[in-house]
Amino acid sequence: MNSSHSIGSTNPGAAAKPSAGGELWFFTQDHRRLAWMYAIVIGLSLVVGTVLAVGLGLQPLTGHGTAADAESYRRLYSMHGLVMVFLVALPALPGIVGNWLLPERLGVDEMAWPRMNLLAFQLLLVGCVFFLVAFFATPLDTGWDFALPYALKSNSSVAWGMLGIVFVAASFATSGANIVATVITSRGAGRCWSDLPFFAWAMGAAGLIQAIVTPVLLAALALLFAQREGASDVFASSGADVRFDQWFWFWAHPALASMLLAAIAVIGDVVGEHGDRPRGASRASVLSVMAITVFAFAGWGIHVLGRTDSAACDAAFSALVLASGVPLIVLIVDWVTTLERGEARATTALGYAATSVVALTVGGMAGVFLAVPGTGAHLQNTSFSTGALHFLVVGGVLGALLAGVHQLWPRWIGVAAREGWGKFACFLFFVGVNLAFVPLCVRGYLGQPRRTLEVVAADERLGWYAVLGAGLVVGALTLAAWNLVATLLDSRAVLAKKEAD
Amino acid sequence: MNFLALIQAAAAAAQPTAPAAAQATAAQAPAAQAPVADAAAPVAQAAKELLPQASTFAASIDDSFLLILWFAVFLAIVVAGAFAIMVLRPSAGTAGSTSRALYRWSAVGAFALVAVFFVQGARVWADMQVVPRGAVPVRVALEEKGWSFTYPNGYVTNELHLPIDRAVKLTFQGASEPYTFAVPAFRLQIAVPVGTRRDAWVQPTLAGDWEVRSTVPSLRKAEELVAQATVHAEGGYEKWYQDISGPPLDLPPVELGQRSYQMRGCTQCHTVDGAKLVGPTFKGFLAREHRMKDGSVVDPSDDYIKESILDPQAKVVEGFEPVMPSFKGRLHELEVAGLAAYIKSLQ
Ligand code: HEC
Repeated sequence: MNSSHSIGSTNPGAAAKPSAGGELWFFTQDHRRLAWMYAIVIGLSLVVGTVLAVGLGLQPLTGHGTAADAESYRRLYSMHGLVMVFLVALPALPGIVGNWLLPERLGVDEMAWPRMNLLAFQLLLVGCVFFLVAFFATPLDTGWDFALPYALKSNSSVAWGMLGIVFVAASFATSGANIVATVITSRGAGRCWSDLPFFAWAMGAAGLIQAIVTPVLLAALALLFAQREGASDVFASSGADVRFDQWFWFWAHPALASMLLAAIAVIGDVVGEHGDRPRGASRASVLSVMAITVFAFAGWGIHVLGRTDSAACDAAFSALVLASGVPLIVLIVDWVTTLERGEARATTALGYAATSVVALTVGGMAGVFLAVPGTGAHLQNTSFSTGALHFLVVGGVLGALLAGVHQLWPRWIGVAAREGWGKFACFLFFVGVNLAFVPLCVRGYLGQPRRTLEVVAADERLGWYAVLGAGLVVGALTLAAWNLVATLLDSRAVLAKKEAD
Repeated sequence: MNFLALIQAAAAAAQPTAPAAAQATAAQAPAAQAPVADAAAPVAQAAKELLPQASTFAASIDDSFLLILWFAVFLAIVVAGAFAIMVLRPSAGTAGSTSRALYRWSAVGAFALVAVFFVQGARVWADMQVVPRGAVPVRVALEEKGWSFTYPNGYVTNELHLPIDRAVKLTFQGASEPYTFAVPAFRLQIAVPVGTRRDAWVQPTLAGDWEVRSTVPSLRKAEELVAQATVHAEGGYEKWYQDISGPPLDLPPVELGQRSYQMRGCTQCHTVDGAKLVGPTFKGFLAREHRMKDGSVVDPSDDYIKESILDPQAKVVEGFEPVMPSFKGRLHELEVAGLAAYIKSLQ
């Protein structure tokens, strides 16, 4: 690759490293180059997922009623979910920001296991390829969570999708283990736990969760696959003892927590750089991170010990979800006071961080509605839960990603992205996220079942608001991407000129 | 006026036609439409139409929702505001570290709030768990053919009929796939896992037709997952129930048939003493020749009698007009069999 040298050489660290020189990018073990490659794969996936999302928003407003419409809608939301969850939301923060920043924050040259770092990326790519096969053969119609009975009866490319997930999940586990190993081994040079920066704590917790929970997902999928092939009937259709969705959420619940912890890591880092605490971590914030991690695994325990249909289990589960709100509030207090003591300037990165914090707050509160026993029952399986998830994932995770990328950009390419355009895009993003997902929540309260094409509750105007919001988010992402790429090209021109001189 | 009303009204303002449920409400329950004097009336009205509070639970769930919603909005504004203030204020703060007390109190505060939400929600939920005594029992199942509702007298339909202002106990029978029983207007959604039995209850407060739906992913056609819950206006349910209530089904067939013959209004058109009314007499039913309008002669078999009851226009007896109403869906199978036995027994 031609461009590699100029990009690589603007990195303060990369140039110094002998291994980063002439090798092929695809086989690089350099954490910064891997961050670039993650950025490319995840960026492309984000484009695909977003196009599908816009289709999802538009379909109920245009074609509905026939069985073919319902079928194509199912395929749309399944592929959208699959791409966004497995190729964007889960890998984005550890893959892009984590890879770039973790060694730097820990003061080491590389991740603990550079070769595994490369392996994790390659596994993700292989998963991607299988997703593409699923995409072009017969698009999945099971939902990203392989909801039964679709997952058993569907004649779409379920097997390809599952195979893709096996590789992607292996990638998460590998990269999670690597992150944990890097955090632990970096302490060698006379550092103790209390010296660890906040980013390392939170990203480390995210990695730890991924490394531990992934086998559950693999086991559940293997059993599901066996049952599809007629070799097993664990997920019996009669008798409520083993339910696939329980197994799946046994993975998905901590995985969601890990995703949020990664977002928290990035927000904390960006806020720290803007406030008075660029590296360190307060005790309260570390305890909060630990609490969120423990709650994520306690959610596990409940899935194992109890059957979700017992009332005591429901209550314990909702108490647990609600309790997770406490560390989040403590973190927000920590961030605001950190900013308070520094000389924070209104930058694009901080704007995205704030957007992410607000979205996490709103999404978290939406989670409260779902967890509180009375309202929760009314809202289950409605588009309210879809709205809540999107606040967390789009506002929270994507917001944090944008914050991290804008924060790191000057160090990536040597030039900062233009602030004016950046802030404008950030504003569009903030408005778009709210405009897109508040209507989903309102409709859910009015009784719109999720994943249902037919508009059951409320009216189509709400749907148009959501599409408009999605349009704004698309606009914001396009603007941000253009802004970043344009500065990248500028920086190369500047460099080329320098070299010529 | 409340906030939910505002949201709903915003949505309703754009709504060209109100949902069927709301129209039914307007037609059947004029009391609910009583004019409100204040300026918020149209807004509150629109909210009611979009998501009526059609059960005793609805108001408390909405209250619980609003409590959290207000706080969520407040919190979002505070968080956004705090970030904004930190970058907009003229001078930087002093270095140091956040006081432990601040962390501690924010943790305690957050915990207390979350506990309040939980307790408030749990109270509604607890109320939902305890079925009041004397509630009308209805059995509910989502079967192969769709929803089925079984009433105390054994009558089965695919529509849910409910009395107004009376508690109804719903007993759910798990099917071969999980389902939920969701009626947004009641703010009630019960999850019924495979092979389990669940009890719930509801007390409707607004007459009208509300939609029942299972929200669990399923391979079935969407229509099969939907049913209609009709809340009858005052006295309407009792009348309907009387209507569907026939004789006790455990009587011997001939006796059951005789009681049914009397209760179901057959006597308006038929006799057992040989007199001819609107329809033919049943006297000597087996001995008589049954010649139809088209000239054919039919065998007075059970099947013929059943067909005459369920689909009277299929074969019309010579000399009579096709005016007999169909009793399809109104009689229990056993009752139809009883009627056939009774009619055949008449010498
Ligand atoms: C509104 C008047 C009316 C009512 C009420 C009515 N029928 Fe009839 N029924 C008729 C007429 C008219 C005919 C003859 C024309 C026809 O066959 O449809 C008839 C025919 C029949 C026959 C066929 C008679 C034959 O000689 O072949 C049977 C059996 C019968 N009715 C049973 C019943 C039963 C049982 C009920 C009550 C559950 C009932 N009907 C109620 C008007 C009525």
